Amino acid sequence: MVFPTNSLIIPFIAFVGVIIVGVEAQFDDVRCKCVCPQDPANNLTRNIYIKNVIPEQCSCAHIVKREEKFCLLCECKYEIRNTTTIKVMVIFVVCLIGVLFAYMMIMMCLDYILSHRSTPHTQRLDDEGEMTPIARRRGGYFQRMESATQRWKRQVQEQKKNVFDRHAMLS
Amino acid sequence: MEQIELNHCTSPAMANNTSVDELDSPIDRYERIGHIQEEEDDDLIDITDDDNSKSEINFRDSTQGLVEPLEDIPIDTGKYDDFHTIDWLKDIQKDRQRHKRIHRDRDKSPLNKLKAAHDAWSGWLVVFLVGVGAGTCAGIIDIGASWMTDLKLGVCPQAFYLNREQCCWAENDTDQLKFNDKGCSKWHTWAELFNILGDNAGSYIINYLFYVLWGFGLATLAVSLVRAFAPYACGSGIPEIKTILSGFIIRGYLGKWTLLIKSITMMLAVSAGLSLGKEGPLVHVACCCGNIFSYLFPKYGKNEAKKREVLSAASAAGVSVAFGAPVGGVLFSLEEVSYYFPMKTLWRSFFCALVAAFVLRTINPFGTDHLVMFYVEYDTPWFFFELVPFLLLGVFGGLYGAFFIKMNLKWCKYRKTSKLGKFPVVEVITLALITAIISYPNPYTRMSSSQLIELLFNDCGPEDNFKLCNYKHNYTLMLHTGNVAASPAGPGVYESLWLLLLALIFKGVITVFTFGIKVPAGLFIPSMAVGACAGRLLGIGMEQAVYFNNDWGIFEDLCKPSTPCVNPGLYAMVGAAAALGGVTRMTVSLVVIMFELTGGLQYIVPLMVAVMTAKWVGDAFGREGIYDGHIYLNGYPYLDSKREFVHSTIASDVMRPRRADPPLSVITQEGMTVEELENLTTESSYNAYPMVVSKESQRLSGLVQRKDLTIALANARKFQEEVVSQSQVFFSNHVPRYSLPGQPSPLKLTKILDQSPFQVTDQTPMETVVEMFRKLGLRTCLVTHNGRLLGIITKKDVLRHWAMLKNQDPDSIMFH
Repeated sequence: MVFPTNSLIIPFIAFVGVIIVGVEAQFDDVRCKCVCPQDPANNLTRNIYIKNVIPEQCSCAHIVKREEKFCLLCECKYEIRNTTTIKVMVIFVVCLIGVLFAYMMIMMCLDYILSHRSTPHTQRLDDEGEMTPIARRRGGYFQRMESATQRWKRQVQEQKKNVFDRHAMLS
Repeated sequence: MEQIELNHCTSPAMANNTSVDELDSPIDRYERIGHIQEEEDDDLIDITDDDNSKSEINFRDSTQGLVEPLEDIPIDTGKYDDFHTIDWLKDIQKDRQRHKRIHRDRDKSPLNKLKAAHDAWSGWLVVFLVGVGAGTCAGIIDIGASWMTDLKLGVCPQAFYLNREQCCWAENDTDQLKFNDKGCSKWHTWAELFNILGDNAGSYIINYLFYVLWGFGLATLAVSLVRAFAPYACGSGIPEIKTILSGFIIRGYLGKWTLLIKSITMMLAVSAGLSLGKEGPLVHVACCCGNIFSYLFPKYGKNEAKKREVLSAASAAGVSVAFGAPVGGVLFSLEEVSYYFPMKTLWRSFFCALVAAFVLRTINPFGTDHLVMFYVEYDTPWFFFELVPFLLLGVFGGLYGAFFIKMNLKWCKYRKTSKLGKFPVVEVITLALITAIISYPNPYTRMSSSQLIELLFNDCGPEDNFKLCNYKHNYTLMLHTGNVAASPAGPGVYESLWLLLLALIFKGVITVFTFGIKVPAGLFIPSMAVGACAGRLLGIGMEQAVYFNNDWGIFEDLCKPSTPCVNPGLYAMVGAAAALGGVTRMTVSLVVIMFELTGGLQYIVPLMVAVMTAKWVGDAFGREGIYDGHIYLNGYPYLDSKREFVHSTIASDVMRPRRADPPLSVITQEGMTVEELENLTTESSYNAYPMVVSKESQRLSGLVQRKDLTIALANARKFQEEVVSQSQVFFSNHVPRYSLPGQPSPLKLTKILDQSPFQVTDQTPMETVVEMFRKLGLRTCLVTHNGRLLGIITKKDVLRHWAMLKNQDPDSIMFH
């Protein structure tokens, strides 16, 4: 709860920001796209024309450069996109998946180690999880974080039991 | 709303409510103490945590000064346990008191005025925030999913974050780019990256291998993330949200982790090529946003009934961003998910859907200025004779819906009860592998379902030169008239027909096995894809029939040779609506969603015809839609307001205790000791105890919630040292002023007693009782005869009774 969502996301966003500044935009964000029918009689198979022009020039006459009659069948559209948004979001998503994957791996390793160690350690962790909120407040930030994580883990266990073991929900 | 208010006014214990005003400050104080004791809500407790320690100190200060042991301990926690039903009436009543308090204090200071103003607009503010949240999530998910989907086919080496369409966006040689694998010079397939160029077997195998490997990898990642972090993130979410909105608590279902994991794994699952959509899960994501933001406003965060108003609005925003259909979203919330939907919520849903659509439009995830990938724009008219094929499509949709619901529920039941359910991860991975291996050879299943729908909805112009649009156009005529006339189909179209038929069968079957696996899985998109395939097939058939039989009477008048006549894309759209209507049994909202997708009002009638027919045909085979089917399968306590109660039983048939059961555990108004009450709460597991005047008369005087009683007793033990095990507990006002010497001091607990429980006589028909539970949102109802308490009926008793009358296993209703 407290741990990954609050303390991880801020440095994470900073990290994403650094990556984004480092990459330069190579792709245009505007285009004028004209779609015309093919004309096999004149041996013309090309039917999409794309150019980066100012909006006023986005017409069939400017882009396709053919007679007016042919242009009646063409449709020109001026389109804008934002590659920076796409870049930011894709990198954000990839990093998020990476972090979650790493966290999952760490959790799995820890669980493995703990289950192969002697039991008192796990017992202690469980007790800590049972502490009342007041007692928890007296401890430092890390202790609170620890117990929040424990509480969260218990909830995940509970959800797992409902969904995967008892099949009481979501089947 | 009116009904609830009405009932308040007629409630016999109205007098009790009026006195609450004078108690506000102690209630505030004690309410917070209640929070210390109870289990913490997992969702966003950090926000409320902070004042707990302070309030505890305050309380200590104030109690130590007390000499009088008769201090009341009013505790109204307003929090429910996991898997419990909420009491709508009590919650709304509580909110009214809170509102009154703020209203009355308004003139005391400018700060209070500000507080009142904040309270007044917080309803709009919270739905604004929810809309922003839902729109942002949808934007990220759309961009991420379309990028990851294309990752299966290749990459854009110069800018890895662009999908194929965006990679070739500004490229001039983008002939036939959109719907095939080649792409442009900037886009590289996996084979090309390994320097295997050209159209040979080697490149095909490499591409095939990567396609399957990516599908496998993404599905594995999705299912392991769901398993490790948030098991509640799997599935579509709509059945559960319907249940939650009907007044049920599922803790953690709308929490932060569910939101995060569902958003991430939704992208992964869609990109893995599994036959599922992200539209249903988006509703769940929006509701998570609704829940999280409502914790910023105690008015909503601490009141479950009020929170459900925000969630109704959030589900509207979810559909709004999923389909780019704000009005359709509001109607979806009204028709399909919401239970309690007053006008105020309608407007807020409208606003929320608007904000969400606006935010998504600003993000512009597809670079097309449209909110969905398969937005289409038609302007061809439709003709009267086409209603016949539209009807046929409706019949197909209904049949497919019935087939899908039946088979899917059977499969889910099998998964629930057999060994298969023990291997959720293996199941997902196997299914992903099978789907990927079968999908790749057929170009129509190789592309994502959204792309397939876009392609099928597309109106074939002469400019399109992919196989589905391979018509023998007469270009001279076209240049002459400026119109795209109907033309005979070329070989590419005939080839496409076969492929589309195969795609239809494959998608139709594999979705039965996919819906219900343990990754986020919606079924809007797969159902629409199935319907769109069928519609397109019929559309092409009609188009050719009209072209070749132009001299027939009905065709002759309407279809001129030089004008476009039958538009197969429209048929695909009608088919999609019909299939979706057959599966979900939605009507009004579905039609509105579909016409918002097309932006053409003239297609409403075809859509209405198809959707209505689909519903009729589907209902003939089974009345419940897929979401209701899953609700019953999982045994959620959902009292459907659409079903009618047709049996003639009476309240005494349903109430507990039954004849053979031990008598009801009741509390007497006075005379019980603290110890007796404590034993009662530990020994029995009932959630509420009726209170009687005395054991002999059994005359009803009220109802006490177990949770309140436990907390009140624990608090009394903790803070009032005079209270011992033998102290008498008084729930009435007849408390002796001074305790007799030698006797322990009494404890007064009037405040936890609900003096206005709902009661019916034992002869009340169950029809009336069911209506009361449905319309008023009751949690429990007491049964009396001549004022004597006979028994108690809970919402789950009603559901069990109903299931029994329908010859179902009453124990299938879970969460007792």
